[in-house]
Amino acid sequence: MWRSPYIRGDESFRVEAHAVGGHPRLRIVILVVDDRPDRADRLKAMIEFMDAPNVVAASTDSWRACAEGERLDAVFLGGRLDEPAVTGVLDAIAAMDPNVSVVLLDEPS
Amino acid sequence: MNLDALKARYPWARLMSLPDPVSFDVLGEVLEEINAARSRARNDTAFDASTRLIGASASMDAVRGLIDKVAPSLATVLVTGESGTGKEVIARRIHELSGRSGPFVAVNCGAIPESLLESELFGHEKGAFTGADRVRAGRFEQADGGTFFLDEIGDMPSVMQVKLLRVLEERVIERVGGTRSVPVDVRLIAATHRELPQRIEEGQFREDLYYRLSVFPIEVSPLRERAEDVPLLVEEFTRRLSEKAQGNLHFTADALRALEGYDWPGNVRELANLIERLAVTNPNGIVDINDLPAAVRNDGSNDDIDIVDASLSLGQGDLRVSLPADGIDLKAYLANIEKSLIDKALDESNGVVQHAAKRLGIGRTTLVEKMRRMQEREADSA
Repeated sequence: MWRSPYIRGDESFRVEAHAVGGHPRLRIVILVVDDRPDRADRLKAMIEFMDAPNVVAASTDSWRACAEGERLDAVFLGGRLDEPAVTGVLDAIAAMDPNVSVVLLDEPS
Repeated sequence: MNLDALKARYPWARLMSLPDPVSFDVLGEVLEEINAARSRARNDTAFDASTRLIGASASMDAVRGLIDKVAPSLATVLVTGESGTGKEVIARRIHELSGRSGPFVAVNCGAIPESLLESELFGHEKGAFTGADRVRAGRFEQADGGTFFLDEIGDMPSVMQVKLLRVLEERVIERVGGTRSVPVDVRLIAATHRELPQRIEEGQFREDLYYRLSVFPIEVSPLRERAEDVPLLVEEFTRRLSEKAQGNLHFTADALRALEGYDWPGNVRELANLIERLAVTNPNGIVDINDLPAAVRNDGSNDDIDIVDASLSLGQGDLRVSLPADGIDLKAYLANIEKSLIDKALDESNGVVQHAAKRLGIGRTTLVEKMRRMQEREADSA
């Protein structure tokens, strides 16, 4: 089970619950699709920091090449994408593997 | 485009949303959920991690005998039994003993939307539909030379039943959008928790397909009918968790007796999930009867649940409860009810805290805090 590396003694339950065996690395494979490279890179860094090293960031133009041959577990979609871009990615993901989780990033209001 | 609109358009998708900029805490919850979904999809739980059939009951011995007989042949096998009895484990064991060099490929017909099932099973040609920007081999082709396991076959849509019948008869498939027949060498094993003869009577399942599939039927008994297997399963799941350094549980005799006496509506899967959860909630490793959910303890605490159920089903203000003459400890009583509901929510969510919190209508952090307090109370009373 995943365990956050940033939780310390305050949340003793979570720490104790997973105390045995150290912090396992998450084996999930994640693709971040965002046309804003700064935001994509920031999210990629955060995901890597949280012990999920298999993460790749790409734009809407280049994500297919990154997904080629990968068995993705999740795709994070940037919030400023327009409708055709979002539905285009979702349609393509459905054709690749309908079990992939899709996480939409909300735009700040 | 908002999340609700996307969910309506893509009902099959596991869609989540994250505020931007995202916090570490929220991102952690999402990653945990993705990881749990991955585990479920790839069957790497304690329940599914092995092809070893655990159990010393006569019915499990009979199943082992049938597997040994059928494995070397090419006969199509139909495995029936309640959900969670380990039908896929049996299918994997047959494949393992079959000597077939190809892969074991499993598909759950009930988990894939009807519109995608044909493409998933048979693959598609480039341009067959929106998003099909390249040729993709289906699961049948991926299983070439090996074994193809079709779980929940009773939920397969009628139109797909016809196509599957053709594969069984002619041993060829046709990709979506294609015109060419592709020969496939697969050994088919199907499974269902449904009564297929009844589905046939209801017009939901093709009779000819049923006879094609049930060349060699194997029926798995529910766990409640083989209680003698429970201690062996407990030992096995505990050992697997220990190997993965996820806990080192020891059960008291009272706890084991309670486990044997429970009727396990979710069968072996429910038992495996309970043990995984106990490894989380009992870091000290000793599991006593009081550590088990009320339903498993069967110690009368279920009476509490009856009242809760009644209150939940109330229209408004019509709760009838009786108060014992010598009164009750209301705080302890309500805490007991809360613990029962949390246990039930965690059980029904396969131990995923995020999902359990949603079922209870509270935040994840609140639930974690409640679990921590429950644990402290139990430690104090021990």
